[in-house]
Amino acid sequence: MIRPFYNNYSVGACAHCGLNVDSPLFNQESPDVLFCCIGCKTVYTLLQTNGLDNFYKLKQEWTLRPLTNGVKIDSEKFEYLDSVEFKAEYVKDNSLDFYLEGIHCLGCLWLIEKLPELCENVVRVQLDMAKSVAHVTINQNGKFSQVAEKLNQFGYRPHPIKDESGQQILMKMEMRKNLIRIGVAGAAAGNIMLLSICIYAGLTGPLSHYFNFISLALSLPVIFYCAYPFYLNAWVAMKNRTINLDLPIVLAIFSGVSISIYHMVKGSAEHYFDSITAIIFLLLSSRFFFKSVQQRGIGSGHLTHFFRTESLKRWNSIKSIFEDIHYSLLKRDDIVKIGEGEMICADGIVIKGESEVNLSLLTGESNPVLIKPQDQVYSGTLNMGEEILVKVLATNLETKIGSILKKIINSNQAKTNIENFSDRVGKYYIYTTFLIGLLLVVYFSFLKNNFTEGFYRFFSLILISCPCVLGFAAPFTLSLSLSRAAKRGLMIKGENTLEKISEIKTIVLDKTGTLTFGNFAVEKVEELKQNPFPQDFTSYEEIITILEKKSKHLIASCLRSYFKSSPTNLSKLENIHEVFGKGVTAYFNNNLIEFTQIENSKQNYLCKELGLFINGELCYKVILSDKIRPESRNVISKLQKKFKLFLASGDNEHIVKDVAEKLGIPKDRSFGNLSPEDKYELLKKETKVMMVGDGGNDAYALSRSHVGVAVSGSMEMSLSVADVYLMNPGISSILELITISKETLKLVKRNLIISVGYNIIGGIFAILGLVTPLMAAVLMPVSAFCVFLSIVISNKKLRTIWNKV
Amino acid sequence: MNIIFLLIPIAIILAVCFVGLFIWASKNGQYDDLETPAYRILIEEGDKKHEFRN
Repeated sequence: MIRPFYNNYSVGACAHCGLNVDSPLFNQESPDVLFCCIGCKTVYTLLQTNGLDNFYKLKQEWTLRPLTNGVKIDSEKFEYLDSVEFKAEYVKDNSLDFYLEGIHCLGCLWLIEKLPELCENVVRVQLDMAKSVAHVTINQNGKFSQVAEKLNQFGYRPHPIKDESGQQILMKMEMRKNLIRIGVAGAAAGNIMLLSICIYAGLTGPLSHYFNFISLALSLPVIFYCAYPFYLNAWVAMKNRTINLDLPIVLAIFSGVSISIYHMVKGSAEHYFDSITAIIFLLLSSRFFFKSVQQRGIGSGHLTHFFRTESLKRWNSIKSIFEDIHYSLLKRDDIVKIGEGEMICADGIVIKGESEVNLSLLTGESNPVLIKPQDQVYSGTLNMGEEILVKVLATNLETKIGSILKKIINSNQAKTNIENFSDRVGKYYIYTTFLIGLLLVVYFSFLKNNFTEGFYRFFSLILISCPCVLGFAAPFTLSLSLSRAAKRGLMIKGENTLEKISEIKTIVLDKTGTLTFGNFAVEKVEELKQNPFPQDFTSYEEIITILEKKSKHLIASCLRSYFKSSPTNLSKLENIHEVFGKGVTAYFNNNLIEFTQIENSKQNYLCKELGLFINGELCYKVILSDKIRPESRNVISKLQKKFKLFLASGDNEHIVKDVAEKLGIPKDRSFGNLSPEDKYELLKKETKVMMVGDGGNDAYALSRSHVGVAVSGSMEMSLSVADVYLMNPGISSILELITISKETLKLVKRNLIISVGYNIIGGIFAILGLVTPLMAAVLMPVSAFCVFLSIVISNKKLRTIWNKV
Repeated sequence: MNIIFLLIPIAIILAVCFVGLFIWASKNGQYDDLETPAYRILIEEGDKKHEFRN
């Protein structure tokens, strides 16, 4: 009998998370309600019994981003949150910040901010949805462990974060300051504009002088306070003997102010305070929005840890017990207990216990390694076998994985030195304008002996060709695309990323988790022989569930979730014994039952065959595989038409070649057994590489590639170094990403052509003396408006992407 | 038209007051999170509040 494989079509949507469900769990009371997992069911029931079903109404109307996985509720202990040691480090004024996993809709916001009503002693909870950070305040009797447990029960796994690191406070202060600058500039510009309208309409006499005087007064804070960032940037550029867009802006501001004051002294009504303040306001705002889009979503820089659990058990030699502590409080020479299925939190030496560890996070290797006392274990690896005691040798950044992290931080800093996009475009243009302007002054003052005329033309030229539009056209177009892409689940960070994506020639793909699902799942089940014990066990499924019940091996949990029947006769099986890396054995009425890997079977590593033997006879076969995501093949064949494609994985060579064959990637372009450094070496050989990956072993390559793309479900470490994060699982969004980048750049170019064209024509008129400085100042907003219109209209391909649901 | 000499300073003082309020709000962190409040306002305050409080 071959059981149908359900994963290709789904039965319905999960009532809690909305995922399509293939093998549903049903609610006893109401059979129409389906769930994808126990987690979702628990949360659903919890909400219903507490009268919180409003959650689903809100969620339906206001889902902001897709939730990519069902709810996972781990039984995690949060006692460590109440320890004095932890509180001293993390808690300030009875408040603590939690980063919450799985925040995705208005319902989440509603539910979390309802906590003070559900949980005693909680004073206030405030959630920042953009960052997924909840600020929790409790009263004197409250305990953070209770709050955390409640959050965990609802399926939002909490991670305490330190109030704010120095860098973050600085960033926040900077944003606040910029906002104040924008506000002041906007208020001043608006008022000056109102006053200037009278002048433009032909107001003369004492009233016009009065208006001019007020305009001057209003523009002073803008010139001296709001425009400060421009002066700073221009000064930095001058110190480095280069030129940037801020330099001509500063020049235009200075000359505009001085000419205006000169006019005022002379008694003429002409002034440029309105244009100067408006330009400063526009430039500041476009830069602010650009920055805030950049920082969104991906900017969880405070999450530099890579552990599943924050809590760990440390030996307290004074009290002679293992106590729960937060991982950040761990020190060298501490002794920690690491249970089954827990992540190892530090580099160290095993002092007691034998087990298996999964190194896939560090090396990408999927087969576990055996360890025994005196063996070295590394932080970030997973203990899959029995409990072990580890003596800590290195923690946090001193660990092996920490050293990778350090490398990444350094290479990230190197990346920011790349020239600014519009700076580079504007450079030659600025040089030319300056040169022509100076020539004009020289020509008029020496040959015509008319310095005033020369200076006027120079000023008109600078004003009309002030690359202000150039300055905001590019960033504004880019930021609009970035924020729209973010809404579609493509988080792009960095100003240059879109430009870099469009230059891509090669794509290197990681295998596990990127092209495949990243974990074993049951593919099919074969019943080779009738069940010999029909009266005691209803099925083989039940035997397997009982056998695998206690095991924390990854395969066991995937078997359990596949065979969801609840065991009834646990006691009937005796002497259940797990052999690590092999399987489980047990006795039933003196019959030997073994559930192990079938030897000599075609173990091509992409799939595993497990057999249930009764007295040595194979009765039941379960075939497991890490399945290739259904869309991978299609996407790859499309990508291969345009790019050189490589498959690079830390996993076994056989598996990699096998996957490559199935996806149609040539054998000579697929590599296995690669260490993080090897992956980087591979990148170095190719030009303009886009690296797509998820694991810790990809992080180094991600940071060093031309464009690093982290896929959904990536580790924090990969996220922090990648240029792009795909929130939808798999690689299907890569095609969209490439189109968005190419089309956005086309749009940027179009806008640059408009503004440069305007500048050139205006510039020629200015050189010929046909444009007065006043006309130049009026024309400037016109060109800005054209560019703005062009951005809003966008182009056809981009419009289709944005409109796609 | 002489009233304008008085009106404009008054208007400007008013504007300065609002700018001052804006600066105060920014420094207070009112604009730190620009996303969540936009959603928070959509949530109705139900009567359920009292049910939990007892």
